[in-house]
Amino acid sequence: MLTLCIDTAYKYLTCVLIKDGRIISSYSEECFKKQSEEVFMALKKVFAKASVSPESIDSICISEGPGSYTGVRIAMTIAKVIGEILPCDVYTISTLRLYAAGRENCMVVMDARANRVYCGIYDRDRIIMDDTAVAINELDCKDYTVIGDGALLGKENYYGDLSEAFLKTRNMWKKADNISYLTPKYLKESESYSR
Amino acid sequence: MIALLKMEDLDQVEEIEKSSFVNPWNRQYLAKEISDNEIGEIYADVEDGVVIAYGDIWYMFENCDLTRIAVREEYRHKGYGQKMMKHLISMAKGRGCEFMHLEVNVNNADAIGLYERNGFETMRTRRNYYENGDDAFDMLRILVEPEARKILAIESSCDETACAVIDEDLNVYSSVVTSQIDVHARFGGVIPEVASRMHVEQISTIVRSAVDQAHIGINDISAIAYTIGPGLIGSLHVGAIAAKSLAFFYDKPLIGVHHLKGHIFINEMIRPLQYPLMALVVSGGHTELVYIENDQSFKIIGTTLDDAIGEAYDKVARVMNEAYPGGPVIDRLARQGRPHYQLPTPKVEGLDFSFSGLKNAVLQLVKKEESAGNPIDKNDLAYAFQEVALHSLIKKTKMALEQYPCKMLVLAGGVAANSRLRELMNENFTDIDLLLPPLKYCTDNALMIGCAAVHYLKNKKFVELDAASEPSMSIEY
Repeated sequence: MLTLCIDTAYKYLTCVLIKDGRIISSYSEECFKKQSEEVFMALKKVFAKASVSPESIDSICISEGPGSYTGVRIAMTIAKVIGEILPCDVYTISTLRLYAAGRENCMVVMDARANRVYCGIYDRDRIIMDDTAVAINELDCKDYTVIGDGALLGKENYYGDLSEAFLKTRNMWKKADNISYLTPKYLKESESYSR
Repeated sequence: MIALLKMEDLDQVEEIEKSSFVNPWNRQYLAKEISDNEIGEIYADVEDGVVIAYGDIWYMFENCDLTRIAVREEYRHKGYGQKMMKHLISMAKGRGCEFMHLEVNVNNADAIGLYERNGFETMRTRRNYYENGDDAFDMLRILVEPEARKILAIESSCDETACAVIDEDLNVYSSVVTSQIDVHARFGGVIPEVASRMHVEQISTIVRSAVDQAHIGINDISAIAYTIGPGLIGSLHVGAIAAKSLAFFYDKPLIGVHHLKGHIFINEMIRPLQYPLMALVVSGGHTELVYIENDQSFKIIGTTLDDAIGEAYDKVARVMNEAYPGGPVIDRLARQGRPHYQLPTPKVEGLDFSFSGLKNAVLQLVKKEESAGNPIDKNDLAYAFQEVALHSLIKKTKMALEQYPCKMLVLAGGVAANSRLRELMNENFTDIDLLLPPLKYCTDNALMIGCAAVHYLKNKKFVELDAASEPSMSIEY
């Protein structure tokens, strides 16, 4: 069972190959706003390192958002097209839940601009507070380990090992029943863009 | 009639062998060739019991060897050799052979001539090949016609998500388009973020439909093409990522097509383009006169200094409280209109265009009439606007052709669907070969990207997997 995992939702570009519950190759670099040019270069490296052909994957897992809109669309487009054409199973996981990586009592925050953050609170595989976009000053993080853009809350930025995060959250991946209906989790509706 | 050689005709063949070759095959050898050689077949042309010609082929998987071909002496130079050759080639093709190989004495000019006429090429010379010390040519003919290469093309530069499969000879295998126009009409124009989101939603279904309808696998495709620019960056990204996904996973070359070249080359669905060529490109984002010397040399000789013509149509429609997109609406209203309102003709030097003055004049006119309490006659206003706008296109195109004589003129882009523009083009350009794109191909589609990609493929112009999309790419690039 060979799974390709991709996260392009935020500052990092992470590509991981997981075979039978073990990471056989991974790439994770800071790559903010350059993912669309870099993602296939990273994939090339990951497949070359593992000496497997891209066509041989059995499934894809991607982070579905929230995150940068352009960013979340990259992994989503790859997963939808390859999932449909190869074909292979597609799994998704919330970007924030991926970042939480199964840790105990952690609050994941990600800059959503305009003094807002995307925030989700997790305790191992339990969701304490589902992903939402909130004003920074509404957040109280004292009971939690803060993951992500902690600097926005007066803590340190900390993202952890996102390759490992895919492996650790395997039991939280959601399998897509119908790939054509998959959409990124933007946390902001299309309707709000009307003039 | 040509058929497999029969045992009863062996005597005649032995006779021809003796009179034709320095190393003739004898009767025993010929008999074994017929009965024991499972890979060899001798074909003979027999008329009224007379063996006139024969040929022997050894079949070895995709390869075959033409080991003998001979014509009875008194029947030579009468076309029997050619007839036999044609038969042998068709037999070999029928067996699925890709190559036919033979050796021929370098001094046998007649035979070499026959082989060359039948598409054989000399690969090398074998020294002292024959017992008498003569050299031989190794000759080869490729039997399979190279199949036209297929391209899968993706277009997503604005508000249409599209995918098509086409081959080099412009045979269309599939073409799927979904338009977001209904959604954007609600907003009165294309909202980039909304467009990007809809592209992501649609992309896999569209690609899948195009592949399914073409009845092919991705491995039958020779290259993946996509619109690299110009267009909305978020929209371009989705098509680019989809195309790169296929190129990467299936290890195919990638072609980044300029959107407007697509609009130009779609005209080849009618007829091949003739160079030098003038293209009048008119759409929601572009108004350009492009002088095209060959399929790789594009020069913008005139462009709009402000609004694109399609944009002006949209804005004028909005002033008249009509729906987006404005082009079809105004075209329809103008059909009912009469000369009534006066609008100023845009005055721009040289081959460039301007439509913002005209658009503002429409706005002023509407305000003036409204404040005077006169209801606006939309038909007449649409007529006035359209006549001025389109005549400026015609005028500049005429000037361009005077300065840059061309063999052909093509119209391209979404506004090419305008019925009045097509009428004016036909009326005004009778002394040049004029192509108007079929209506169904005027709006954005992936077939046009495929048509342009055919040229990129022939010219081996590929891009790498890290190629950046270019929202404001020039056609000259």
